[in-house]
Amino acid sequence: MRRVLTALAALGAMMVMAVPAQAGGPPFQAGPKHGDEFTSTSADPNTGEVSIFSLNARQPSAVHCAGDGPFATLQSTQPADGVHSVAVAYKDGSWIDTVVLNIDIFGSQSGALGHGAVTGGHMGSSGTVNMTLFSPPQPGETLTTRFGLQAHAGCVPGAQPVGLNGSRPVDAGRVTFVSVTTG
Amino acid sequence: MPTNWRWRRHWPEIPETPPIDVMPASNGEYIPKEPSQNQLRIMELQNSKIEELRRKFGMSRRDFVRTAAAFSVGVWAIDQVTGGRWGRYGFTPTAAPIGPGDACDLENPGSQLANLPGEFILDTQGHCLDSAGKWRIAQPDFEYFLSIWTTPAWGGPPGITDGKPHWMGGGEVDKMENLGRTMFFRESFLNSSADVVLLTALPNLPDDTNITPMKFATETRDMINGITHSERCFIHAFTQPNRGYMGEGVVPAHQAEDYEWMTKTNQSADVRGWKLYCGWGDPFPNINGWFFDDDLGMSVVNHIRKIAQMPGARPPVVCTHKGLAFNGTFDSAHFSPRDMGVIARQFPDITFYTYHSGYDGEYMKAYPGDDVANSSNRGVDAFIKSLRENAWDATRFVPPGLQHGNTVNMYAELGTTWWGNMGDANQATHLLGKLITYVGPRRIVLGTDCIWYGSPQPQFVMLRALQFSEEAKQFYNLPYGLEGDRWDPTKNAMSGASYPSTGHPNVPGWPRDGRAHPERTIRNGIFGRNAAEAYGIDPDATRGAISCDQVQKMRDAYLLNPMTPTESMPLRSNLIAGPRTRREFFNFVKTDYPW
Repeated sequence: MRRVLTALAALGAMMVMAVPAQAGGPPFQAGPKHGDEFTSTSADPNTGEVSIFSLNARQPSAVHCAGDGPFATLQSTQPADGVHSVAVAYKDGSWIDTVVLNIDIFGSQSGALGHGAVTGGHMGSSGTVNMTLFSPPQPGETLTTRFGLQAHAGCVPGAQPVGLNGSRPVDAGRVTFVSVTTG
Repeated sequence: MPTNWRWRRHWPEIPETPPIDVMPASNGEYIPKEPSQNQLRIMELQNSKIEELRRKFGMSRRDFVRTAAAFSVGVWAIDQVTGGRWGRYGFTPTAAPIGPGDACDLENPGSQLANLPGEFILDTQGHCLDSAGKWRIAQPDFEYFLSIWTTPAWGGPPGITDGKPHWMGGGEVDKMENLGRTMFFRESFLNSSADVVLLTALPNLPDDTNITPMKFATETRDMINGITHSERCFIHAFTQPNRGYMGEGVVPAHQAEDYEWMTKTNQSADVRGWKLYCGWGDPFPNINGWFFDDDLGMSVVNHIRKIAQMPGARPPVVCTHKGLAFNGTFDSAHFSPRDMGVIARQFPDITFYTYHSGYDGEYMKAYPGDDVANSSNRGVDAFIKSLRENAWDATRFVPPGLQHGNTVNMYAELGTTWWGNMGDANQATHLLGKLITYVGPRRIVLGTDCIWYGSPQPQFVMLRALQFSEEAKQFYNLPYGLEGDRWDPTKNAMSGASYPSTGHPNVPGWPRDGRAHPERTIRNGIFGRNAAEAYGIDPDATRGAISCDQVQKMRDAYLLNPMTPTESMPLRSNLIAGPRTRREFFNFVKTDYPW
């Protein structure tokens, strides 16, 4: 009888401690966006759709190609207590291989707590990025998951008449974020 | 009398350009920018001061511009024009600008070749190439690329001007030999204060078509160490995981062969680190690059870890080019440092060096914050953002009781990055200030990317002279600027009062002798002591002297090489031979462009 009671008590304690998975879909919150005059970005918190575009008409110099490539993000916030992992689901993802789907997770007191990325070119793909937190969040803090697309700054070919290939003419990508799930 | 005196009448005049030349230069690939007012002012100041001083010392201008004092004049002129809110150039840590008297001092130690107290210079990015290598047939694009980039070192192509024949700027008939081991040795070890130089590697595999193939690299290292009777040179080897690329998720056709070569080379050549170029694509260099956090990157890092576990192997070191787009020549998107924080966190037992610290010619300012920085960019801020989004930046590793930390296993390397920022004291201060903050005072290493830029000495002189302003010291929490102790930058390493007999409550091994410890400054850490620690080199070991006679013997022997006819032309290091103006650019393209 004692063993049964102990087992029941342990099970009860585990049920109290465990945090049920919490899923959040759109609307998300708007996150930071940035890019120079050769870029355009959009991130719709209501639909979860994020897109970036860069017309690589920047002028290179000797070995450099300087500029601010585009990034656009949405974000979602939750209480951090008991969270040890985050999953971000996306669909309808199409981007060339210079674009990266990037996810940052940070606590209001802890700073960076997790990071995930999807690289390579994609066409109409969907998936889920699962991330285990680097360390447990501090009690009472808020967890922010920031997700979006980003790319480098590309340049046109070297000045004529030498004419190197240059970067890709454009860097572009679009994706729809479906949900952020904490566990 | 010079051996080749009979040829001298055919050579162009030795230039009278100041040793620190800030005017725009092109590699022939683009139209040089119009000189800025600051650049014009710096050159004007230098020229007038050089004239004044060379008359005072009774020297010709040609002789004077090759003195240490001429370097001082350059430092003084840059300080006069660009020194300001964030930084100044001067040889005293009081941040007082150099006065005219200082610039006149031929004995100024900051400009001398001899090392200053505590100074040990380990140049972590030296280059040279095998001018007789197979790559010149197998990789002709490389010759084109190097030719247009390295005009400061090699000068214009041979030809006849006004009826006079002339050779390449460095004095070699074969222009690529201006970037060879003899010039490397001369510029790095004779014309500079470097103590040790790491001869790093360049793409590509298979090795016999590499620009700096392993046989050539090991011979160069052994030659230098043989001449100097000490370890003055060590080497990297190049590798790549994507040769024979066949598509995403498919193991490249030559990966197994290349990994086997790595294993053998690691055993036979005493490789001190592996050099990778994520933007070196396949089958063409500008497509199919890779990141460390994709399958190809993970694969090669795992293999490096595996061969480091073999008996007698050295600890694993991964060095990778990040930044410098080489637009069109490489797959520049993969030169973003966005993956450096990921890989460093994932492999804490491996030491990583981010070459160029991600720099790609951006105007250097303070780190703008995580909401603005984009880790997919190339740039120092992108590198910092990558570390921060993976909780792997120095602020996450501050020991108890201290105010500064260091990343566990990530080093910021400054090849070309310092060269590109040292001409502006404010930008130079922000560069070092944010790297100290986010990578750590013991994790920054100076590389020069020479011989591409000729002698590295101007870079050393400028680093000796940089002083943080009071505002910069406050902003970066560095009360003693680069004179701070790199274990605790809130203490002044140049003051004996920082090392009392009671020691330091939070730093084990803190000196207790009450004397200044210049070898512990952040500056001297950047110069070489940080890298020496990482590579297991004793900076205070006695190093053999280098004899100019021995170099001349080597050079004479080289002249006898029937396969590579050459001739020497000493003291060329002040010349930047690329087009300097729009008119010169078009003249260069019309008349001199050899392709």
